[in-house]
Amino acid sequence: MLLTYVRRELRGRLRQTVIVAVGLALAVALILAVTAASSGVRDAQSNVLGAIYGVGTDITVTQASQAGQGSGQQFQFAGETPGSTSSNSTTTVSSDNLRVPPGTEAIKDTAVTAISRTSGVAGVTATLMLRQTSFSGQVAGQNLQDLRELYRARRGGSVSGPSGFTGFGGGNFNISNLTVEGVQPGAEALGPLSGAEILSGGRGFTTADAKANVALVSKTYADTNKLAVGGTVTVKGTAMKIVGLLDVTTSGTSLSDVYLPLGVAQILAGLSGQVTNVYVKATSSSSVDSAAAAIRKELPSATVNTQSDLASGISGSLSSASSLVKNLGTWLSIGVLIAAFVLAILFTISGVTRRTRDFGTLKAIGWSNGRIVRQVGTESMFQGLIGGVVGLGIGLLGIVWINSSHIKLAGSTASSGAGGAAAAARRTFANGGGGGYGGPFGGVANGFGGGNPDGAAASRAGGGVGGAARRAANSTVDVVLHAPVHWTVILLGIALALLGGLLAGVFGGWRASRLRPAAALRSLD
Amino acid sequence: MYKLTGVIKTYANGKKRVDALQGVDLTIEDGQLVAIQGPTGGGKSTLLQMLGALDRPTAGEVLLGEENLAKASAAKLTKLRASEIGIVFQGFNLISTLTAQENVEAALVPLAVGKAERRARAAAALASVGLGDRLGHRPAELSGGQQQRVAIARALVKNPKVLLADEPTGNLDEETRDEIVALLEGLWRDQGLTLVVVTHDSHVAGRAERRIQLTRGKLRDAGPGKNAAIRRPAEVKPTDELATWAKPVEATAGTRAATPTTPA
Repeated sequence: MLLTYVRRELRGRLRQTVIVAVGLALAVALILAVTAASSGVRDAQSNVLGAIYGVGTDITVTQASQAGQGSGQQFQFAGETPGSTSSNSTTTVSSDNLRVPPGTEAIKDTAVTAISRTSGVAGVTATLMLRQTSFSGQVAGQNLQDLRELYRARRGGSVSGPSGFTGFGGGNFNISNLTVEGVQPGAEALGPLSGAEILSGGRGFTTADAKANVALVSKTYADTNKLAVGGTVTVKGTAMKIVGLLDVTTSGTSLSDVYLPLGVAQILAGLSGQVTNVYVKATSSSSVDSAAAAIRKELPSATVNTQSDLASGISGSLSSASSLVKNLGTWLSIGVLIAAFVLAILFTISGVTRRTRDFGTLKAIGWSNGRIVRQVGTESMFQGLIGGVVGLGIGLLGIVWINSSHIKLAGSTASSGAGGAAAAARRTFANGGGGGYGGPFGGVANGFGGGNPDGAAASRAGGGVGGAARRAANSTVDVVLHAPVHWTVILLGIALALLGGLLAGVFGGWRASRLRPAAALRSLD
Repeated sequence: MYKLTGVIKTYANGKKRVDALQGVDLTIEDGQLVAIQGPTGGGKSTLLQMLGALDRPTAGEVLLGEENLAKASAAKLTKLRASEIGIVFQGFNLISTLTAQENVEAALVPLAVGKAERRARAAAALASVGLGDRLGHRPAELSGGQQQRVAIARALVKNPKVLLADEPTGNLDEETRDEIVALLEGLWRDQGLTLVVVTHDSHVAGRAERRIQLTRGKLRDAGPGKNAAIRRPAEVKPTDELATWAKPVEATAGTRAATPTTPA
């Protein structure tokens, strides 16, 4: 009888059923779509972060240089420099400079050991990020003198600015950049070579390569410079045998140009026992924050970033989508859900009021309050269930539409923030490298500030080698938004609809149970 | 048997106090057909609500058998309404979304009667009031007289001891009124029910064994009605066979033949 009466009432009062069900359906559909989109955006952010920081990295540790620190860009040329020769009025110069990127400071690798012992840390790997700037070509003798003056001025501050060198325009030389990264052979499961990058030829590093002059080269760099597996790439004057080429799986992801075994990179850069980036994997997602806090305590001067910190550094349409989903989407869902609940409750109470005669009669023929509450509650739950199922359908259609629309989101990593600085620097020079100085020099004289004597952040450093580098400081990764559907989300939608029905039933049933049969019948007289 | 002693019922209407019943003393024997008459606002429906365990008096006692309805718990009153008291309303009060059969079944739901038996008893009850061919009809598809027949079937399907009818013919035309009165009269005669009818209609009240006048909450016995001399035949016992309700009862010595029910 209960279900028969429920069926009859839902059909007999179709308008109320439809309105309540549609209200709940919209709320459920919106929640499904927003939750799925939110999950999609999170995945997209994770992809972007994975592409930049490596898959599986929960925490990154870097050390930003302090204001006033940094040695500035040093080139050694002139006759005494091995790579320089002089003839008459011109001087042929050639110099490689390999050092940590501006704005970044090396950390002693004892810190890595300390981090690995920190509670909540499951795995640690470290890299040494370096930038090689090569200066080669011919300059006039006077120009070379000017060049020295410029360098001294920037170091000593005796010259007010680059305007003093605006007349410098002679010579024929190039400045090229190469990003080099020392990685721990055999530890690529974590860090920059995890997940996002794949070998497109040759092999990866093995532990046997720890002290070998071998290199992995990004395919882009190799293609540009016509390098192949088996060939060599020169870093700081040392030929490194190319054992593998790296490509990326995610559009827009940038690699360092050359990867060397960490020990080899440290020796070449004169930074033995030092690293720039530490990648940490936490024992579980719930232990990320506590592990980060413990690392901050252990290394108070270091910059410790978690994935969520890093995610906040993502800009572009991905960031906009994330904000949209988090703010508008979430609040809209909550708003619609509350509205649907209120609507369901009000309609149910209104329905009970309209059915005063019915409930009064049922009480008069012996129906108990409990039976009447069950009746009203069951009707409301069915309305909720209908709303949930319809909402599920609408929500799934919305998700299908999102997925079939192939919405492309661009995630940009800003170079600000110490955690992002080093990684951005990798991209800065990888993308911006080769911005030659061949033309008139005055306009870019400030570029020698790339050594960052002012201790500016990496973005400033990126600008140090020219506008192209600054542009490249914001590396963009394109990802297609895929809104996944999980059973938990479907169950959540149905549960919310049922909850709406339950709430409406509770209020409606409470209202019905308060009707005294005599009063209910008398009110109709 | 009903025994009312000093029953007072007072309603508060804003600041105004309405004394609906003012010390009513009344005894209704089992099997009596009592008509309660009186002007509008005289307290008739209030008295019926006391009898029907739908409300409690402000003061006094309402005994149904041994049970004092004034003091019984809400659950006990619900149980009494479910099993022992049948009520017929002026406005029929059928559930508009349910069919005639389902409306009648609704009265058996609190008694935990199984579905099959419920359906069978509801169908039999409807057949007994001449609506055997209207089981699947909704109230809106039935005439006023038919709806009241459904309401009567709903009140009687549980075999109550008492049938209370509040203006059962108030919304009906004269011809239908006579049919319904005849039906109630026949059921009272056959089933051994205690039948209490609240009515404005002197024609209806005149068919009762006993007439009671209720004016301004005070009771006055108005004397015997047309059926005062009628006694049900001793050999006709109340029965569960609802189908027999519709059958005319043979006249015996000292009795008048019951009016057979007329299908609508």
